[in-house]
Amino acid sequence: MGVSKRILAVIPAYNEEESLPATLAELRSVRPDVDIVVVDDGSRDHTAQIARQYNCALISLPMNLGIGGAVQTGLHYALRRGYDVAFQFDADGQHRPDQIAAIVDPILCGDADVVLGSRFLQKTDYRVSRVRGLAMRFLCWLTSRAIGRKLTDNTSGFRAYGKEAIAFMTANCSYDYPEIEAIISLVRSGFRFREVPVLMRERVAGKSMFTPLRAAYFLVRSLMAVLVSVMSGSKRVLYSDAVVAEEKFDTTPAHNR
Amino acid sequence: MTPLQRIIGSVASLLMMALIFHLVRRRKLREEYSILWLAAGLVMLLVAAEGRLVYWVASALNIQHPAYGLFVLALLVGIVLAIHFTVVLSRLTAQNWRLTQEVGLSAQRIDELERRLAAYESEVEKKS
Repeated sequence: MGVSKRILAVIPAYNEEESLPATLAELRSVRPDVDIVVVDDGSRDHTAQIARQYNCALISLPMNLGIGGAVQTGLHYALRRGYDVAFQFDADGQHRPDQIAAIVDPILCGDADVVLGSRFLQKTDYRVSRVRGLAMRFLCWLTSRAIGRKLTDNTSGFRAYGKEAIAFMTANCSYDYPEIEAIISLVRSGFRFREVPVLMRERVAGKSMFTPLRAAYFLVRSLMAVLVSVMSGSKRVLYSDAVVAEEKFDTTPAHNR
Repeated sequence: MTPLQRIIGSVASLLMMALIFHLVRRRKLREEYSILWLAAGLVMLLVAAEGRLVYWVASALNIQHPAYGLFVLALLVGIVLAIHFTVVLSRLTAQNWRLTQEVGLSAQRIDELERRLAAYESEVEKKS
C-alpha cells in the first residue's frame, strides 16, 4: 500500500443550523479518515459557528452563491490542498456516511473520474412527490440522451470527483443547475463517469420547496442548462495547469497545507 | 419642421451630450459606455437639425411614413442597448461570483493561520 489517499467531504450549507450538528457528528464518527470542509453559503443563522465548534475547515461566503457556487468553492479548496478525491455531502442529513465508500472507492481504484450516487438504480424506499418525480424522470431521460448513456438520477448531489475532475470543475462554472450541467460537460469532455446505487434518507430538517409552478420553472431552466452544456464546449484543463492557476491565490507551501 | 422645433430638438440633444460629458468627468460613467451615448446624441442632433434627413432615409428605404422608420430605429437601438447591458451584467455576475469564492477561501486561510499561531504561541509560553 502506497501513501494513503486524501479524501475531502465538501458540505455546502445554507441556513442549516438545525441539521448540521448531527450530520457532522455522524460523518466524523463513521468516517474519521475523511477531512471536512463546510462551505457556509452566506447563511444568516449559526451555520458557521457550528462548523467552528466541530473544528471543521470553514469557508464562509459573504454572499449566497447557490449550491453550485458553494460546491465549486469547496473544490477550489480541494485542488489547492491537493486532495485526491472530493465528494459533495449534503448538510440536511439526506446523505449517509456509510454510503461514502460506494461513490469514493471507484475513484480510489482508478476506475472512474466522477461517480454519482443514484437513489433509483435499485429499488429503494426513497419517495418523491408525483410532480417532482415526473419532472425528474423527464430531465433524466433528456440528460441520458445528451450524454449518450443511461442515467437514473441526475439531480443527486451525492457525487465524488477525482483529481482531474476537480480541476475541470474549478475551471468551468455553471451557475444555475450545476447538478445537470456538470455531468453533461464532464462526460462530453471525456471523463469516465459511473453511476452507483446508494441509500439515502428522507431529509431530516427543512422542506423541499417544490410547488407545481416552481417545478415548471425548474424544468425550463434545466432545459436551458442541458442545451447550454450540449452546445458550449467546456475547456478540458490539465491538472498541472489548474494547480498553477490556483497557486496565484494560495501561496502556502504545499508541505504546510 | 418649424425652426422652433429644430432649435428645441438640437438644444435637447446637445444638453444630453453635455450631461454625458459631465458624468464622465465626474467619473460616474465610464468612457467605455459614454461612446455609445454620445453616438446616440449625435444621431439625435443630426435628425433635429436637418429635418429632411429622416425623409431622405425613409425614401431611400422605401418607407411610406418617415415617422415609422424613426420609431423602428428607436426600438432597435433600445433592444441593442438592453442586450448590451445584460452582457455587461452577466460579466459582472461572473466576476462577483469568483470574488465571493476567493474572499471565502482567503478568510479560511486567515482563520487557519490564526489558529496555528495561537497554538504556537501557547507552546512557546509553556516552554518559557
